Amino acid sequence: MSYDCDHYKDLIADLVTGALDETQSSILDEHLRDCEKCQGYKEALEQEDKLLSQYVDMINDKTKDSRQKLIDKINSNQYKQNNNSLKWRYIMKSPVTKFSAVAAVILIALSVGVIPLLTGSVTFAKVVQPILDAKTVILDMNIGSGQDGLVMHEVVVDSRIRRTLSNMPNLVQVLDLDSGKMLVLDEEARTAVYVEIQGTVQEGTKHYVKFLRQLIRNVQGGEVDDLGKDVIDGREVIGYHGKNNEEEVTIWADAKTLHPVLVEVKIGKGFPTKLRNFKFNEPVDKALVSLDVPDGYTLKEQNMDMSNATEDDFVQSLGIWAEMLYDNTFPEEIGSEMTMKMMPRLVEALKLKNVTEQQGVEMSMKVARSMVFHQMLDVRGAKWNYSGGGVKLGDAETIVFWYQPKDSQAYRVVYGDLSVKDSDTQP
Amino acid sequence: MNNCSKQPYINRPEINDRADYESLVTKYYAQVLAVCLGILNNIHDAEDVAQEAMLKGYQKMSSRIQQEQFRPWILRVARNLCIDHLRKKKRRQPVVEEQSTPSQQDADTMYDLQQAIGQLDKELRVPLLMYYFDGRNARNIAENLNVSHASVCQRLRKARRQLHDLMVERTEK
Repeated sequence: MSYDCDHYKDLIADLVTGALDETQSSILDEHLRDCEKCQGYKEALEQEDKLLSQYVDMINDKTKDSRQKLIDKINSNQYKQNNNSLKWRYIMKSPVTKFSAVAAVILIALSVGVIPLLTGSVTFAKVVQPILDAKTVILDMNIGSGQDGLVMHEVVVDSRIRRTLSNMPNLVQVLDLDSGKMLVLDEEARTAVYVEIQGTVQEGTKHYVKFLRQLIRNVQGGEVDDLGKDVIDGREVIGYHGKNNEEEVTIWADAKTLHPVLVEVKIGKGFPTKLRNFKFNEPVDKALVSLDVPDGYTLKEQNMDMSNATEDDFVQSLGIWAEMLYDNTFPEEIGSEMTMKMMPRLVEALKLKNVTEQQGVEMSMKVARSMVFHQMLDVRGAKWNYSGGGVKLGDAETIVFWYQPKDSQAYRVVYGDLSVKDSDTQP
Repeated sequence: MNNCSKQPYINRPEINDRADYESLVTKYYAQVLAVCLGILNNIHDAEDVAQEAMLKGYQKMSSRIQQEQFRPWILRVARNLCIDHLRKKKRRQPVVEEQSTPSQQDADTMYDLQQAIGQLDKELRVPLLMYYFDGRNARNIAENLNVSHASVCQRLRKARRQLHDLMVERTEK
């Protein structure tokens, strides 16, 4: 392949800044043999390189005295260290955004099981028809039992979802449920991170589609409660409530138009999710749900893989909560709602505890995968119980958690020292 | 049976005393200066702010700061001080950069270079100066600016090409 000289000028610029690899270097050499113009360009840049070095030497030389003065000032006791009040201030101030992408990853785990409601190709009663037929869906998702819960704003186009979170306004997540990939954008820091959400998360979402289909079949078979009429936000609505084992869904729709007004979803012991403010078939700019890094953003290379959530992640994350946030005592409760509420505090604690960025990312990813693991217990029909509230981290005698996978005779039991043992009987 | 043990997360060398700080000044002053010069585009202002940053760093630094965290932190302090400085300067008076008279300096290549650097966009100038002040290490720059290595290489390439064009322009005048 032949290039024009402009391309070789790029290579020359790379050459003088030491960024050229061997292959490119030999390609460039070959071109330089035949091109006087580029040869001249190379010589000019090399000359400027020398000049730049001289310039820096000159400044270093000029500032030698001031550097010494600075050291003298430090030694003069005129400036004293303030070890107390500002001890951790720099940590608090500096890497504010460094965990934010991870926090977003953690929050993505909250949505396991919720997304397919909007993307599945199932048929349902008339009230869900608009959701299923719509090419695009825009909605708000309230998560948690309290009034002050998190609100996720979602723009759904086929298998793509663009999500913003009320408690992290600078973050945007773009999910592709087909490829199991997520792009997290930090609008403040102008950084982008790719996150793998294959495996468990995808499995969870697929499972939830099955659940909805089953639920709909149940509904069609008459196993659904007609909740009659009610009024929500001044609108007359009709409601249906369906339940399938551990899962529940309630749909309230406008009595006249059948436009969904409120959909409530609850899985197992999980927190309820409320979907509101539905808009269907609104035109959506494709760029909003693109997985490409937008112009002006820098792609951060971080290993964020949500695809393999294990028991070990869950157990270690219990330790992280205890160690980082609860003075080496296990929290009163665990689960997605607790994680959602406590996440900002955990992020703060990680910063305060002097963990490095890499450690913070690792720990946060453990917490994220732990939540997926925990959610999957419900999705997969496992039994579980948490009793760690107040137990000291390191207590080898006390059980903090146990679970029994579906179709398994044995129980997995987690103790206060984070050891995990098998048991044939329910603890 | 599967036993999971708790891993210690915090175990790093720390900066302990004034002597440690002195060695940090020696090690990082040039980089701090490079950032300040890149942003402020004026050596006198850059020197003042670099000094202020290092002193502020000393005063505010806890003995528990880890050495490996010092560089990104002090560069951030310097950047913030530069921004404050520019803000104050803008409020005080219109920005009038100190310049030598072109007629006296036209023949001086170093002067041309300095002026050309000054004409570069800040996004290019900062990594370019950091590159030369920091032992030509693009990976360090990436870490300090919190951008990817590829992005630093791209900016350096752009900076070098623009700088050359500006130098040619100046010599042709």
